[in-house]
Amino acid sequence: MTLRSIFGEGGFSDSEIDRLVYSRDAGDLEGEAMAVVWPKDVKQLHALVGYAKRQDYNLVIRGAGTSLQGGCVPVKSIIVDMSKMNKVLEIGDDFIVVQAGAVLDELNHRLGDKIIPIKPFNHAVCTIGGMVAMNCRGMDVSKGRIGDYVMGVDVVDGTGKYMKLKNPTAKNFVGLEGTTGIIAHVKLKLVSKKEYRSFSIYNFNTLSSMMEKVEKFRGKEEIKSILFFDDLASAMLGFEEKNHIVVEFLGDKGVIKDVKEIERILSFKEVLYHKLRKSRFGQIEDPKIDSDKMAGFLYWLRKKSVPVYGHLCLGVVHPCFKEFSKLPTEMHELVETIKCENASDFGYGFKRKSFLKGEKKVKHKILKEQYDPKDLLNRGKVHE
Amino acid sequence: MSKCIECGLCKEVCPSFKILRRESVSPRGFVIMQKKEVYDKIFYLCTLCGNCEKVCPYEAKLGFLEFREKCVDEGITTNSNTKTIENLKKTGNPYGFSD
Ligand SMILES: Cc1cc2nc3c(=O)[nH]c(=O)nc-3n(C[C@H](O)[C@H](O)[C@H](O)COP(=O)(O)OP(=O)(O)OC[C@H]3O[C@@H](n4cnc5c(N)ncnc54)[C@H](O)[C@@H]3O)c2cc1C
Repeated sequence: MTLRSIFGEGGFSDSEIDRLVYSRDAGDLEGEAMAVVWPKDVKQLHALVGYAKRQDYNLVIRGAGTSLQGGCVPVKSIIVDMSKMNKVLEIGDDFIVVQAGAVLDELNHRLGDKIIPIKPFNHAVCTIGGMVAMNCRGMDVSKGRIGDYVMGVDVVDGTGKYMKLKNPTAKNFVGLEGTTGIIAHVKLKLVSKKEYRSFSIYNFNTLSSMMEKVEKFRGKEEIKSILFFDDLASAMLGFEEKNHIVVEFLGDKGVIKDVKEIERILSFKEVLYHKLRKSRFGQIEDPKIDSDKMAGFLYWLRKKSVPVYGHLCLGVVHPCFKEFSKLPTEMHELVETIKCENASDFGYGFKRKSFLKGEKKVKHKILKEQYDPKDLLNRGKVHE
Repeated sequence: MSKCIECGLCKEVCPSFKILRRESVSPRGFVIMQKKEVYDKIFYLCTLCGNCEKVCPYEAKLGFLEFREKCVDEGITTNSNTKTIENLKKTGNPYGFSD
């Protein structure tokens, strides 16, 4: 059996052009693809893993290819492009079952009052499989992560076994960046678009006055999230050059209640992200900082004139560095020294394997050994 | 005007990608070919509609028309393209209709 015979004419290519184009993703790494396949169903996925096992090929799974950490970059690999597995299989009252290559925006346009509430910046193109593999967080952080909405997954693991899984076992494939199995189908919980919340925006001349206010809000039940932009990021957004916080309240305690206005507030981060990348801030980081260390960390960034935005309730901040700047390395060292995490949202892929530590690393090792002992899937990613 | 950063955010507005669902027939694929100076008939699958440039959050200028010209200069063409040019030369219209 050959790949061509498994996938048929339109489902397999080893042309020079396809191998070139599939050697990259949205990040800055480049690898080597041996061939590309476009599976249409689970039967083909199952046959593919069997083939890879016999021939000792490794497989790199690809959704929309928007990974920034080299998650879709091949190492003499066969690329498994999930784009053609994009069908909706079932829509229920409060759930949807889709093939993993289905595109988020297309699904949400099709759905009615209940939707998939996680909306990352790349919502127009990202696939459900890619989102689940990355346990993606959206612009509206109080909604959590996509993993919070996963009710079940159907996967083909690295041993070739096809499994239909519900929680908690389904979670062994959420956020594992495709290193434990190829996600074929996903069942997701849908939630109502209607919400009972409001927002207020505050600005501050100094970081210390802002942190004081944040401390007052912290831990209060009615506070759902606190989004923060420092003075540099605020200026890029067209605000006054001061530190801003956008506080989300459960209920109507906030000043801003109008749905359209709330939508505008929720798009601030997306607008800023694109402005930053357009201005060649090519390195946007995602450290997770303990609350008692946050003020010191933000002072350090300000001293280095690094624009930053983030979520102060979660402790996840996004310092933004210019392309080729060496400052990120300095920041990583600082984060290590203060015993916080260097990666929280954007995954590990190839580029950030050294950031996976402690319990998370142990868990990954155990799951990898269980589901993909021959390291056929996304070889060399997340951790060695 | 900026350069393409290969984020892939324009894929789903590309009419060719939408149908073929193949990265090498997407704006990002064409950009990679351009950067590596790889000329191929596959580039004729770009309809030159410009949707990708319209939705690009970074206002990248992709220069696909110029790339098509380069393909022609390199002798890379399709039968229908050759025929269209012949028709234009002979009859002044792409269909080859004469009055
Ligand atoms: C402009 C831009 C904005 C972004 N915004 C956000 C954001 O707001 N929040 C966020 O969390 N991330 C963001 N990202 C990062 C990342 O692209 C997302 O996490 C996204 O969900 C990935 O979806 P995708 O379909 O492109 O997956 P891909 O990039 O194709 O794949 C991502 C990883 O998942 C694996 N994978 C893909 N499909 C499957 C499958 N079916 N089974 C198993 N493994 C699979 C891949 O091997 C890879 O390791 C952004 C990226 C870009 C370029």
